[in-house]
Amino acid sequence: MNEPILTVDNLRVEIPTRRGVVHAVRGVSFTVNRGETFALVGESGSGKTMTCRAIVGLIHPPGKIAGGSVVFQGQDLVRLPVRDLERVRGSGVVMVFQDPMTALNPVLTVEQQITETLSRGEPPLFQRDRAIELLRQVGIPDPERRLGSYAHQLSGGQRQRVMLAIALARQPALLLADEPTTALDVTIQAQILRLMLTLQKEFGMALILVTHDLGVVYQSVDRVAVMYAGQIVELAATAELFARPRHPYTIGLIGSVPSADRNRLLTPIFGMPPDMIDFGRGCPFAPRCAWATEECVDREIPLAAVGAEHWSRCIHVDRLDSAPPRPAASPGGVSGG
Amino acid sequence: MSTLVQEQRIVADTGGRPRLHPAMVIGGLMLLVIVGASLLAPVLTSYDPDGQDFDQILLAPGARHLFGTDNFGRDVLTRVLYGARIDLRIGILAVVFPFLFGSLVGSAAGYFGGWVDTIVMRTVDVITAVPFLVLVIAIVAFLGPGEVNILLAIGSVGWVTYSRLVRGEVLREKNLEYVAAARALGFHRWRILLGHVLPNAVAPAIIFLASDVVLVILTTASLGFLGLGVRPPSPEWGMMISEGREFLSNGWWVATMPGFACMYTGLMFILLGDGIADLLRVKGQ
Repeated sequence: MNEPILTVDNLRVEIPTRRGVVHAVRGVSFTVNRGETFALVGESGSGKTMTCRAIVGLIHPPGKIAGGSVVFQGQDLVRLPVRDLERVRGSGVVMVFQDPMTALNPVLTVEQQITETLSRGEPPLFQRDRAIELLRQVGIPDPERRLGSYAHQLSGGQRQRVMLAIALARQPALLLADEPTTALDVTIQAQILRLMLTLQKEFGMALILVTHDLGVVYQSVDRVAVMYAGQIVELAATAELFARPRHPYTIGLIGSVPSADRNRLLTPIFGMPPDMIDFGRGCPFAPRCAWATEECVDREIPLAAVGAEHWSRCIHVDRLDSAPPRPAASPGGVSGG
Repeated sequence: MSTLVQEQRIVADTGGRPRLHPAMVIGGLMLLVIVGASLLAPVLTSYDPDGQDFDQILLAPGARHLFGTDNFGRDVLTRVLYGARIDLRIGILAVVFPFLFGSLVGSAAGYFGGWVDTIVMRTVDVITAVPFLVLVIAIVAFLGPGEVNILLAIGSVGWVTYSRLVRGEVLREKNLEYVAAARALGFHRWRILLGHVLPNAVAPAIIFLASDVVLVILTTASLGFLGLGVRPPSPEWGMMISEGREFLSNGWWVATMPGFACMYTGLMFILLGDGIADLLRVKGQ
């Protein structure tokens, strides 16, 4: 069961800009098992989307993968020739994008876009049937009529369903979903998410869900990697992570999720994520952290095991259960780092 | 109740489908008329376009000769109708090939960038630096007059506008998410460019196509006027205007009638172009 399908090792993504090199992803490593639901969580700019795009080799130039490996079913996608990579993308790994408004081609019909993904050589009528079947599987009502529709004739939720139909057409082993529900109405978000999880079980796929919504993660994901400033700061099984968070940033994230059954104030994380060009050597979260000491800024903090299948990039793990020694950085204040 | 639902469905349906612009309908009818008339010319008139009749020189428009006759006694209407074949053929061929070539080259330049882009766009700059008509006249003067040479000359200059238009659109389109999505599905880059990006980028070029036909027909007429066009006695409109120029005082119709034909054709393609532009805008949204 725990057979890894994807192993990302020390992945680094760099984007040269006029101000200097942006280190978008800084040595990310994780594995995803066959049929597993894995989540990458973090705030905007934490490198989760870049990690995702790097896996399928879709970093926009001038950005590039600066190092590391992405091994999918025994092949290192980073070093694979373009031709082979294209084959893997079509049938092995598929990515669903954040905004279904722009991810569908505006001048092609739904049918054209689905059948183009199906293997060629099949008779057209068969392809049409497959397209209808796929649309039905993703819950599009009246699929025969929808075949001739263009993207602008569909609602946001329907577009994301069509995107899923296209992604599933070749029955990939791994589906990457980059904030697949962020651009949708709240009422539709849950539907699409439930649909994705159902289809994942049905097709036996592994799923990497990129999100900043911890509520989504709690309900539906096997394991979680929390990302901050281009690094994984904590990695654990979902239940373990929520019960025993072992990184101040994770604690902050969980504290900032509204909860209906507990009557408490939300605790925001004050301050801003760090500049992605100039890092100190130490923990990038230290300036915003209530537990930070001098040691945090002085040296590089490695990702260390803190429990069974539980890793954290914090040296104060043992102190996290007690109350923070000082309040976290104040709302407007600049805290030294 | 049920009729209401029915009605709503009908409205929703036509809302999705592009509606025909009135300009498109008028332009289309005009095209039908002139293409039909030029094809049916042998049936519509009993005269020979090159048949000279020295008893009937410079007759004013009348019942027997609707557009009058020229200095050789040839029926002007007949010559205008037969001339439509030549001018429409040149007009359309001389934009279709540049359109295809320019779109392909321009989209490749925009999509792949790098040295492909540099080579294509510098070539375009060089060609654009010389005025269009001057360059065409120079090429025709070098190759010699004749229909094929006119096509070659206009074609080798005309593609640059298309490549510019398409390149600009491709530059915008290629960063959109659907291109990344197509790549994420493992499509080959040429397939993404030709099957996904180009159909989204080609609209301005198609709109320009219609006005370019007008430009090309006028260029052909200008070449004819300068004696660099189709060889006489072919009834090409520009050449007819040029020949009729000498008789403006005693036979205004010889030059004016083919002039009207040019105007008619120009108006027709402009209307068609407007209609197409409207149609593409509807689809793009």
